[in-house]
Amino acid sequence: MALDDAPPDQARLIASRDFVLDAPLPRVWDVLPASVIQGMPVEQMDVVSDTKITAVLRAKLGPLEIPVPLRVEVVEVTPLQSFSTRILAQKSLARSVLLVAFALTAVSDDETRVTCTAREDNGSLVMRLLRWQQRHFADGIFSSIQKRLERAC
Amino acid sequence: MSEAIPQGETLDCDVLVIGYGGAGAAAAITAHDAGADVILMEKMPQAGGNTRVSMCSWFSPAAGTEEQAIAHIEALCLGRTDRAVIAAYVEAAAGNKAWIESLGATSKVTHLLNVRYPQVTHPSWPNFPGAAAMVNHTVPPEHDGERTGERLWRLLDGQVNRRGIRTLLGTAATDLLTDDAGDVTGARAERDGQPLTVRAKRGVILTTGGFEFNEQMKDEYLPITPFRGIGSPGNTGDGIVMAQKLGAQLWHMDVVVGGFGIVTEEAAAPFGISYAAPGFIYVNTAGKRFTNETGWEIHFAWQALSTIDPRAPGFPTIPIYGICDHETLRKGAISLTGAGYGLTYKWSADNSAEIARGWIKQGRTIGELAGQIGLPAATLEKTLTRYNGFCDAGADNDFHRRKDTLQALAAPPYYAVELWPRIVNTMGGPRRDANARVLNKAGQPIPRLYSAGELGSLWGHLYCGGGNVGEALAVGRIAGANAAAEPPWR
Repeated sequence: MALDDAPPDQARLIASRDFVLDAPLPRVWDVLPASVIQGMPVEQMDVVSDTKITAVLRAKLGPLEIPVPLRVEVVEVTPLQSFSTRILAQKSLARSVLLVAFALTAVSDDETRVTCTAREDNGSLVMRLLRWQQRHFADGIFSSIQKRLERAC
Repeated sequence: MSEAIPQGETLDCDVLVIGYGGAGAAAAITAHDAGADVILMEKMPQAGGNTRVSMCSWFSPAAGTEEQAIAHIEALCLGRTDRAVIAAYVEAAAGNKAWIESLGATSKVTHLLNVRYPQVTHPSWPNFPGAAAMVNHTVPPEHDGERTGERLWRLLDGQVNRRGIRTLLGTAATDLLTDDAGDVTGARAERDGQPLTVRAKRGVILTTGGFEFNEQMKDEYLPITPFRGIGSPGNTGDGIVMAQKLGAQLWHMDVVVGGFGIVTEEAAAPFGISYAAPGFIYVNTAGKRFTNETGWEIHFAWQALSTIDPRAPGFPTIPIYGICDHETLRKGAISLTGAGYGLTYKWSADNSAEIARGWIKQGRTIGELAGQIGLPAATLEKTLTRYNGFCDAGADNDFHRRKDTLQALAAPPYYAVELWPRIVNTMGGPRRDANARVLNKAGQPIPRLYSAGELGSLWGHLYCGGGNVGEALAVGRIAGANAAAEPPWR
């Protein structure tokens, strides 16, 4: 599906990435959650419960770096298959709710395909105006996660 | 009865449950629902035991996977637990989910986020046979910040109260009563300094927990010292002493679940260590790494501290020091305070409050940090240089730490915390059979005496996370049902 091409009743696709790792699926599954968290430019991470994390995101807006309170909630886990999170970022009028999902498929015994998608679930008008920034940011995170996974596997 | 006429007040019931935590609650509810008149006795002013401060993850295998689960637990117990006991546990635990839901709660399968270091894996021992069957559930908290153990406890305590089960808090059992035939018929206790006797016509169930707060027992049975508890301070081995007086056989006294943590003067229990990023190492009192910091199963991390040095007395790895750089420290709090009595303190997300308190030492250079914690600067610098070299190479030649956890400590300032052994819970106590009956030294049941929970737990060697709360709920129900089914003595 093309970016921004979602039917109105579906969450809009902001960014996606697809890559194959030279590692068996269980190994990728093992290191995925930590790679996701470590791949995000967050600090002051606090584990609220077994499925919720709060943190402060260092968001770059042009030359500026702005601390944005972030809340990450695991909304779906299917072991060895997929892992979805709902990420709420809010700073004043800028509010973004992203559904970020990771799906794994075995390509062979030693290769695993990782599909990452970020969809906007809900966002303020300000965030809609900053969509390009959102996309750029999601792309950057997916790239960082890919690098971490490649290193870990 | 051969006992002298009891002094003070005497109460009568069908089933006496001594120890009001998760196992005691499950036993009491089950015995009550089977028609028994139940008294719950707890020496602490507040009930809940270790269940209340647990992470509330409880074992409940899916239907059809019981044989795999039995095989897995047998492998973990290394032949130190009878298969029949394990099978009875697994069978009852398979009903944990339905039972909890029958009490009015929702439950869900536990999936650990596993984003902190050292990492927590579930199943704890994924390479052992049958690991896939070790499925845990939890009762979700009703609001953010509610401890999951507290949520489970509210459910159990609410159900006990709703049934009108008599509960005696602040009442310490001191001895079990027996008749001429050796049947257990009740207990003596003390309440507000006054003697109290409770006669139980059908049976007595011991659910008094372990011995994390009994210094003499820890010295006698545990492999390292000092070992500080984080659970219920009421866990002083009372049930062990009472059962021993009746000739009970003990088992699993050397099995302990724990790791290490930060000891402070202000908090009653040590804070567990949990970094938000992998850029950290542990060093011993000589300033050297001594282990794969991320390689220990989280419940048995204490074993990293059990090394001895044949050239010197004591333990060279007690205490140890956790060292990290600013990159790891700013990622998040280095301690989670989700479980443990006396740990109401909220660790700051950026660790600044703990640096200000002096719990975390800070140095602009590694040499300066070494001076802060009294370690040889040259050795610590050499240790760090070597570790950082392994990170650059992507291979830890000394301790084979996993590649994805090799993050260099390269961003000053540097930080250190002193870490001491920390017990979550002990497993030892009177041996029990598949019917939760306490056995004597000849392997025969002591009539009308039952046990459940961490007192004489079935985990005989290794342990799988969620197994203790799972056992409290499952074996508590076995004990409650069987005690209630005993014919009343006359």
